Amino acid sequence: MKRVGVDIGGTFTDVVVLDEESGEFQVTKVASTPERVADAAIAGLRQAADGFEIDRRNVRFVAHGSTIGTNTVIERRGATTALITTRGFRDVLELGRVARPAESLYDVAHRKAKSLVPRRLRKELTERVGADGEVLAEIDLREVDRIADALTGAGVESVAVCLLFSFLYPAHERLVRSRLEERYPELFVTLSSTLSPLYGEYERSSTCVVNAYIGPAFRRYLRVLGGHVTQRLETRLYLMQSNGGLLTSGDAEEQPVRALESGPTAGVMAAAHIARLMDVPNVISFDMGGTTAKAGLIVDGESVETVEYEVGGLAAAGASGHLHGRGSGFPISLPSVEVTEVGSGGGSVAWIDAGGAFRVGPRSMGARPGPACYGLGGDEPTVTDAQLILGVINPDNFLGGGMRLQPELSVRAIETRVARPLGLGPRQAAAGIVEVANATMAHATRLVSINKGHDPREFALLAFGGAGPMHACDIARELEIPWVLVPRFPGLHSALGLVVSDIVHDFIQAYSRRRMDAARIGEIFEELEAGATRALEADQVPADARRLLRTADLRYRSQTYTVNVAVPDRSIGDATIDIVVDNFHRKHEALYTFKSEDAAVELVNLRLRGIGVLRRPDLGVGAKGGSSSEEAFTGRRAVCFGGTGETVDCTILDRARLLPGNVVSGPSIVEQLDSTTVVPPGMVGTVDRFRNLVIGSEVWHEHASH
Amino acid sequence: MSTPRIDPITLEVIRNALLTVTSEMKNVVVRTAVSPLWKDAGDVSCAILTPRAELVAQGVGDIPVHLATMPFSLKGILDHFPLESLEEGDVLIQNDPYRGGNTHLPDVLMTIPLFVAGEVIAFSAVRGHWTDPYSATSREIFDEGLIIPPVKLYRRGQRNDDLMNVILANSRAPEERMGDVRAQEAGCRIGARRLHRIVERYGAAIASTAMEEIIDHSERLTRAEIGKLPDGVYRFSDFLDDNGVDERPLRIQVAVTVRDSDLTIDFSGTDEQTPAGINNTYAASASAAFYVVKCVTDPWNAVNSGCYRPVTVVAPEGTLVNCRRPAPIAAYHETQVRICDALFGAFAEAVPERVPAAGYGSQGGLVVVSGTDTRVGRQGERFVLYEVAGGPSGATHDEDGLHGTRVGTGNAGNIPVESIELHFPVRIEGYEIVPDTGGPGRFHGGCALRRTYRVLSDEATVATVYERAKFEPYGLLGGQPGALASVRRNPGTVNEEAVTPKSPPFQVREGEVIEVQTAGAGGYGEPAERDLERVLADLDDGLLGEERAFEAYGVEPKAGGSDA
Repeated sequence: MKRVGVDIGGTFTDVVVLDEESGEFQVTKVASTPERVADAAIAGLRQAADGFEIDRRNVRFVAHGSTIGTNTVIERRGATTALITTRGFRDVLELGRVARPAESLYDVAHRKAKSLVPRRLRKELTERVGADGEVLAEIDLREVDRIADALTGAGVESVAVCLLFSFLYPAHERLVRSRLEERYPELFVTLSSTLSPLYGEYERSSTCVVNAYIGPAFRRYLRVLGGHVTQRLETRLYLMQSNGGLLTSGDAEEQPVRALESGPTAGVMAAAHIARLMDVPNVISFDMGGTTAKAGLIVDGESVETVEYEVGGLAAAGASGHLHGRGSGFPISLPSVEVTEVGSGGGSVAWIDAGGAFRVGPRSMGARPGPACYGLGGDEPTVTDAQLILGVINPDNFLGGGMRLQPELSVRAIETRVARPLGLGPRQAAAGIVEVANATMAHATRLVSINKGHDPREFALLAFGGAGPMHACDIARELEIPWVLVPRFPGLHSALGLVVSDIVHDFIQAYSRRRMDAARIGEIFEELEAGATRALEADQVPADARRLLRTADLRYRSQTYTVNVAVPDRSIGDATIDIVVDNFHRKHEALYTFKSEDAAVELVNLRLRGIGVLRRPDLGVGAKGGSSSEEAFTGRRAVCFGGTGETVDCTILDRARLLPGNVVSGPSIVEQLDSTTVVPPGMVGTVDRFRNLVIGSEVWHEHASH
Repeated sequence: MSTPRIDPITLEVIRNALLTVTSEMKNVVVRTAVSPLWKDAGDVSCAILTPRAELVAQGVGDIPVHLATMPFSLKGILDHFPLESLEEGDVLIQNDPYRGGNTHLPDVLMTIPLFVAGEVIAFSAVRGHWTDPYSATSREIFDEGLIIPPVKLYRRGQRNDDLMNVILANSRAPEERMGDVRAQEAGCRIGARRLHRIVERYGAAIASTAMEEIIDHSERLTRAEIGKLPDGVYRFSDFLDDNGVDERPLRIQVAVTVRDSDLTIDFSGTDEQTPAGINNTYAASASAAFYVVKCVTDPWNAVNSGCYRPVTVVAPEGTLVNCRRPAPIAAYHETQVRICDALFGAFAEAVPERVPAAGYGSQGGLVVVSGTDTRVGRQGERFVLYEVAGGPSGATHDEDGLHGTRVGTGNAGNIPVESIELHFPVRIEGYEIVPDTGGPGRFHGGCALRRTYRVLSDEATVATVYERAKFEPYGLLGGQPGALASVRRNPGTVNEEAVTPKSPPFQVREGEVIEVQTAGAGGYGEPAERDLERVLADLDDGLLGEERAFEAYGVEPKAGGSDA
């Protein structure tokens, strides 16, 4: 059987077809169609179906990743959306947490992203639930009817409902939904108590509103794409969620906010899969493209998650090209694979500031006009221009020769804007640009691991994206990371993540009592498990492939941050609670350097993850070659490494012709269609059986267990 | 130590590395802290300073006034413990506003000297707000809590437990205090460790040169921007409502002199210090001045002492802006905001497009509800709810102000309603934008916020600190002022009464309601120039009533256009 992954990016739509039995995969690309996103996905599927002669009876599923949800928010193209709140609280959505974004403290002109629901469409309902889940004021359904009439009269397509304490007492929200649907069945209704039953009215409303805002457009899109998939390939369509699991398109139609960050997440999931196959437990995934560099963390084979992230922040540039950070967008409180921006990609601009200091980024030229060497009108020097001048990038073999780069434009940009003002030669300046960019990305990547209580030296760096493998070895050296892993197709890596992930349903319930009551906890888990089992049955996951994972969020009383710990899979008694609390103390100490065993511990949330395990396919194993890589030799050229400005005569190799067992001694440059890998002097690369290139200070020996 | 030359590339790498160190420090502190004020509101700040007590790197997003007062506080420490009396393993703390300088007593500075070959080459420092309730009604600094002069909490790695016990004995929540102190210490230590690694890599001489050059560079950037301001003297005055003791308003007077790339900020003419806790030390006033200068000159680049070198602050001793011991300072922040307002007002004449109209003009409305829970099942539990719920900002030359944000030098966030009600015997009955309160203008000021607290315990005390109940936040260039602030007790009942801006703590019974309404913010530009579409949208959104739409903008609303 085949699995098909379609990843829609800004420039290209990538398709990966994986054969479950052999682990072999085929890849193809089509240009993306930002105006009608589904067109590119359908074109890509057609191209793959025809080109690879896929038998439609033989397709297990199509899995899809895209940034359509995020783009709908950023481009403000969502539905006319309303919000219904408890009386007195319609402005919570706009007021948020009031603190300014960290980077905007001195910027008196800073602005927040404008609320997705204008004030006139935020309606208040007379009802109130208290902190113990008790009803303080009953709901009046006639008031709901009046609101519904007013909203539909105002052209509202989608309604978010977020009432205070609905996560403890969801009945009021449910009454609102049934009343709305009775009266206006075509309305798209989102309840906060269904989507994210957690403490925090602002974050819960925000999550609920984003879902409502993107819902109608997402549903239309999925119906077009899903229609194609069912008719042409006679199979099911799944979506990659931000939590790294797949969701059926039917569920995604209801809760599209779960699929917001699917592209970057898929990249981390592919990294996790490769790391598992290679028996490398701890990996930092490093994805560097033209506009951003992103890092994710894989610990003991599992991607690290966050409980909240933000979408649609303002990327308004100040005089220094400064980017606004957290606090300017909309929080989403759903579990998500943590992917952190650590740099601004190959398009990062090098410049001299008004005080005469040499800077790289954060402003990026992106894909258009792009680096100076593209010849598309960009005249500012970028990291890509620097790599071209240093000889790392081959001007004649960029995108497999699809784009001819113009080094003379890079030289001019670097000379006029950077080298001359600093009194450096162009090559020295170019080396400086790369050094500063690498150091900045290394520092930021370090924070990604340190902030989670991990030492980067215990990790491998898995680099992908067009530029990742070019910078990875320098970053690894800076972080004292011993091994760099470069997958076989660095540029199509995210699409691969789509076909190696499991089906996942996340459930959560805030716990409202002050004491941990074993019986009550047991009941909640049973309810959550029943829900997860129903969802997995609906996805036709056979019983033996279902996994139910219980976890709990705990904290010391009066702390706000919670720590997520495993809960044993058996009936909950006082002994189980002791185990959970003990897990919490230990994990708290690992993350935050201390524990307080005498302090009171609070249970905040219970979580249940229902997993439909799909067989994890091995990736195809290539025919073994010898240790020599001369079969892949394509030539030599002068390349400048590091800050010395000295050039070295360097071997150039073709990635497509490297075989398992081949050894690549640095200094070498390995070229392929969508990426360039640098093996610096003193380092050595080894091609493993999956055709990953493993770079370190010595030859990589595959784990004996393989 | 000789000063080697440093190449621009290494310099940039070190500059980034130092900023990363402060992020890492902050992360450790926030994650290990216990008090909600540190964890949720992030009322804690991290920095690296040179042996000459100049800031070289500070946490992005950390509290400006925490940071800008650090050099003063560290100088206070060094006056008592000169560099040569410091030893490896020392951890120093101080909060004494009259030794070097501080904001107020709760903001405690902790610092660790980093030694290389027996010499101090830098300090890592964390200032955090130690939460204990206070009001603005103190008469002397001695009424405001524990004064900690420069002391060694650790001497050569050995903690002074007696000192720690004194600190804990003075805290209403010793467990929380201990947790936060430990977090503060962890932040300082991680900072020192990371600095050490940079020194190992580049050598102490290069690292020291880099730190000096980073500060010089910021000075150059700031001077370049000051140089663009038209030379001249710009004056402005603004008023505080009163001191909470008598009814007299208090004047803040400023004169900003721009000459080439130098700025002099002179507070002469400001009223004398007052026997209520709203005075500012010189350090606090200078920090407010530094903040405004940074906003007006270069809000985007990293902040360090270099940004402040071109600025001379003149503040006559014995005034509100340079108080003499033992003047009380607990609610210094209210005056601090007004200092910022006065300075922005002065700069508005020089660079109107870089200055906002006045915001809600308070760090509050600060509300403290404390006492003992009397509800069934929770009897006897002590509680302290300390909250700043934000307010509106003034309009700028090209955009309306925000309704819900923070202004000035503080940046704590609000606490979720659901979290307050879970932890405290308080019910929040509304958190709303109040229509018709933003100053009209081509761009309008943000509207006032109203937050309504119902107390559910029979043994509770309420204290509020707020401002702008008598003097409206100003508008600019024809923009109108925002509405006045108010706090009301039991509004809409026969027991309704107004609560004065700096009330002494008062007892409330179960069921009583405290309604806090901030001021509205000032508008910018002539209201007549406002885009009609925006006026109509404000009407639709209920931010503007029909009457005011007509009065302020001359707009006749369409029939039934508003649902306010």
